[in-house]
Amino acid sequence: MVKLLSSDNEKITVAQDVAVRSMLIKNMLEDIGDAEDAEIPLPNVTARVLKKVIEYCEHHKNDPMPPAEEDELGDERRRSDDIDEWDADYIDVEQELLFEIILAANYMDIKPLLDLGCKTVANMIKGKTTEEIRKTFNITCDFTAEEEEQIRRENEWAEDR
Amino acid sequence: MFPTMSEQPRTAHAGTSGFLRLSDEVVTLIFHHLGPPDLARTMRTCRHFCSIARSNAIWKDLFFRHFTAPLVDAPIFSSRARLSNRRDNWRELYRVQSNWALGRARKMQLVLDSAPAQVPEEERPKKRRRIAPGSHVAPDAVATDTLKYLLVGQTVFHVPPGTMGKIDVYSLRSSAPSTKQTIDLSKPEPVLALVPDSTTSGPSTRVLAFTSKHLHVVDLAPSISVTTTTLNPLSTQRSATVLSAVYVSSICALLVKTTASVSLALIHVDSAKVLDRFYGFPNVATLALAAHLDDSGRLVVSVAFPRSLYSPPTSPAQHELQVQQFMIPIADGRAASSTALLIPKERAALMTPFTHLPVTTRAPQLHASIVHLSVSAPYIVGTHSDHSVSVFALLPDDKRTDQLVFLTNLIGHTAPVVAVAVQASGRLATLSRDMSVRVWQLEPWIATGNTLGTPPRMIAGPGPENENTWLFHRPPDPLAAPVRRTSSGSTGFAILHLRNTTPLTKSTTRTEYVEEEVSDDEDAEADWRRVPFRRAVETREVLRVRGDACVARLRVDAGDDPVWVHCGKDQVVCGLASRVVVFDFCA
Repeated sequence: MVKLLSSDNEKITVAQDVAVRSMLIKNMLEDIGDAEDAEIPLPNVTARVLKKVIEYCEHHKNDPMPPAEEDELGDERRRSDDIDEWDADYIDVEQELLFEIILAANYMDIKPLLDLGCKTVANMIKGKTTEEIRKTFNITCDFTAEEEEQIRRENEWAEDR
Repeated sequence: MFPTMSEQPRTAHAGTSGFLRLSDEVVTLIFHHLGPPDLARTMRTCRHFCSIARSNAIWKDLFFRHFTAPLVDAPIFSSRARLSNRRDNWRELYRVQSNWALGRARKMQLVLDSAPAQVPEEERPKKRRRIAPGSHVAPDAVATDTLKYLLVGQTVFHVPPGTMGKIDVYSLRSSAPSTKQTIDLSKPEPVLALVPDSTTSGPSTRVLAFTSKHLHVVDLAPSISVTTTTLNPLSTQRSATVLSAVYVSSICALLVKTTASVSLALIHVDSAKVLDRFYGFPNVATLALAAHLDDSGRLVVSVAFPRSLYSPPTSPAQHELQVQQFMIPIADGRAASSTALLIPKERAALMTPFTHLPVTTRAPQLHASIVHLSVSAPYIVGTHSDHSVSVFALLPDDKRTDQLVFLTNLIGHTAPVVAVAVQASGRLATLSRDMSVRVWQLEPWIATGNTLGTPPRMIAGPGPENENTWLFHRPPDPLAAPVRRTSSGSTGFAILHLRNTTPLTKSTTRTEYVEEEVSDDEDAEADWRRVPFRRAVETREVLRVRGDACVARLRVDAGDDPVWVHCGKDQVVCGLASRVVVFDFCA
C-alpha cells in the first residue's frame, strides 16, 4: 500500500499496482526504496481531484504500461475518436474538474489519462466557431478587430482542408 | 526533494478559464488532435492560443500525418526567392502541399500572339493545321511544335507559326503586364528548335535557336543578345524538323528528322561545327533524347525510340521501347567512341535514384504503342494510343552502367496525351487532348527523415494467388473525411502489394514498399485522388505506401490545341497553340 498526501492534507491509501500508474509516484517509490510508511506528498493535487485520478488508475491497473518514449506521439494518442465507453463516462465531468484532471495527470505523469483529457478537450473544440470556442471555455478575446481579421484572412484557406 | 510543478499556473489568466491554466506543452498536446479548420478557428480566440496553434511543431506534425512526403521538398523549395522566407514555415508548406493535393491553383492565362506574319494561309505548311481535340494526332505535329515553345524561369519563348527568324518573348510574372518582346534573328529562315542550356541546374542563361543554315546563340543576361554563326546545314530538305534537343556542356545533341531518315547530330556550340552524325533510327517522329555528363567526364547521350513489335508484350523485356546510348569524350572534342543498346529489363531488383533500395518492376497489362516519348533523366515517359502513360527509368545498376527499367503505367486521361514533363524529383505532368493536365507523383518515398502516421492494420495475408498481396484495414484518412470528397467514406479495405522486403538483420530495419489498390473501384476517379493521401508509415518495421498516383487534375479550357507542358516546383505551365496557362500552387 502507498500513502498519498493531497495538497489539502488528506491522506489517501492506494494499492501499489494502482499508484504506479503514475510515473511520478513510481519513480519516487524507486527512489525511497522499501520505506513502508513513507507518505508521498502531492502538493499540486487536491483530494477531490486525486480521488478522481485514482479511480482512473484503479480501472486501468491491468493495462499494459505505455511505451517510455517521450517525444514520439504514438498512433493511439492521435485518434480522438477512439475513447472507450468507460473512459468517456469517466471523463464526462464539469469543465473545471476536467482541467484539474489534466493538470494532475500531467503533474503525476499518467500518459493515458493526459491523453484522454487532451482528446476530450480537442473534441470540445472540433467543429465549433471561434465565438463558440470562446464561450465554451470562457476565453476573453484580446485581439483588436483588425488583428482578428488579419488572422482570419491569413488562414481562410484552412477552412476546407 | 520532491519535484514541484515545473510550470506555474498562468496567473494573468487565472480565474478566467481553466483552459488557460494549462501549460503550453499540454495545450500543444490538445491541439495535436485538431485539423487545419479547427486550428484556424482556435487561432482567432486569443493571442495565447494563436501563438501555439500556429507553431511549427503542430503544423510539421500535421504535414507528415497527411502527406507521404513533401512534393516540394524543403531544400529545393528554398531556391525560389519568394519562398525562401517560408522554408521553415510548416503552416505555409502545408498550405502549398494541400493545394497540390487538392488541385487548388491560381490559374493565369497568357494569350500568345500567334498570328502568322506575312504568310498567306495557303502557303503555310499543311502539318500546322489545327487538329480537333480527340481526333487522331499525327505524331510529327506533337514532337516538332514542342521545341517551338520554351520556358526559362518565368519567361516564355515562342516561335509563332509561319514566321521567319522571329522569336516572341513573354513574361509570366504576374506583376509585369504580359508585354511581348520580339527577338529578330535577322535570317529569313524558319526557326526549327529552341534549346535551353541544361549544363547547370538553375535557370538557363542561354538559349540556342536553330534555323536550317544558322545557329543563333541567344544570351539572356544581362540583356538579350544574339550571336549568329553559319552552321553546316542540318538537312538540305525544307521539311526537316528537329524532334528533340539537349544542350549540355558546349555540345548540343539534336534529333533531326527528314522524310528519308532520322539522325542524331552532335554540334559543338562555340564553333558551330557538326562533330558527328548517327543514322539508323526508325524513321518515326516518336524519338526523344537526354544527355548528361558521367563521372569520367564523358557526355552520355541517350536516345529513346520505340521498337516495332508484332505481338503484344508479355514481359517488360518485350516492351516496345529501347534506348541507345552514345558515350562522347568531351575533352578531345572527338565524337562518340562507344554505344550501348538497352532494352527494358526483366523483373529484377534495381536501385531507385533516391533511396538506393531495390525496386522490382511489373509488366504492363496492356498492349499499346508508344506515340510520344520524353526523356528527362532518369525517367523516360511514353504515351500510349490508349491514353495511358508508361514510365521507364534509366537507373544505374551495381556496376554503374545504366539499366532500362519499366516502372509503372499511369491511367486516367480520357484522350491522347500530347505532352509530358518530368522532374527528377519524380513529379510528372501530362497534358492531354481531354483538355486537362494531371500531375503524378512517381517517387513518394523521397527520404524526408522521420515520417509519422497510422500504420495500416493487417487483416489477412499473404493472399492465395500471390504471396505478396496482403489485406489491410485502411486507416481513416484525414483529408478524405469531408463528405464532398468521397461518397464511400473515409475507411475501407485496401489491398497492399508488398513491393520488396529485405531481410531483417541486427543492423538494419526491415523495409517494405507497399503499393495500394483500393478495393471499392466504383468511383475510379475518387480512388485515384485518394491514393496519394495514403500516409507514409514508418513503424519499427518501416512501411511506406507507394502511390504512383495522380496528385492533381487541372482543367484547361477547350478550344485550343495542347502542345507542351512544364512541371515546376510550385507551378504547372501548359502551352496551348495560342495560350499559356499557368497553375500556381503557391498563390
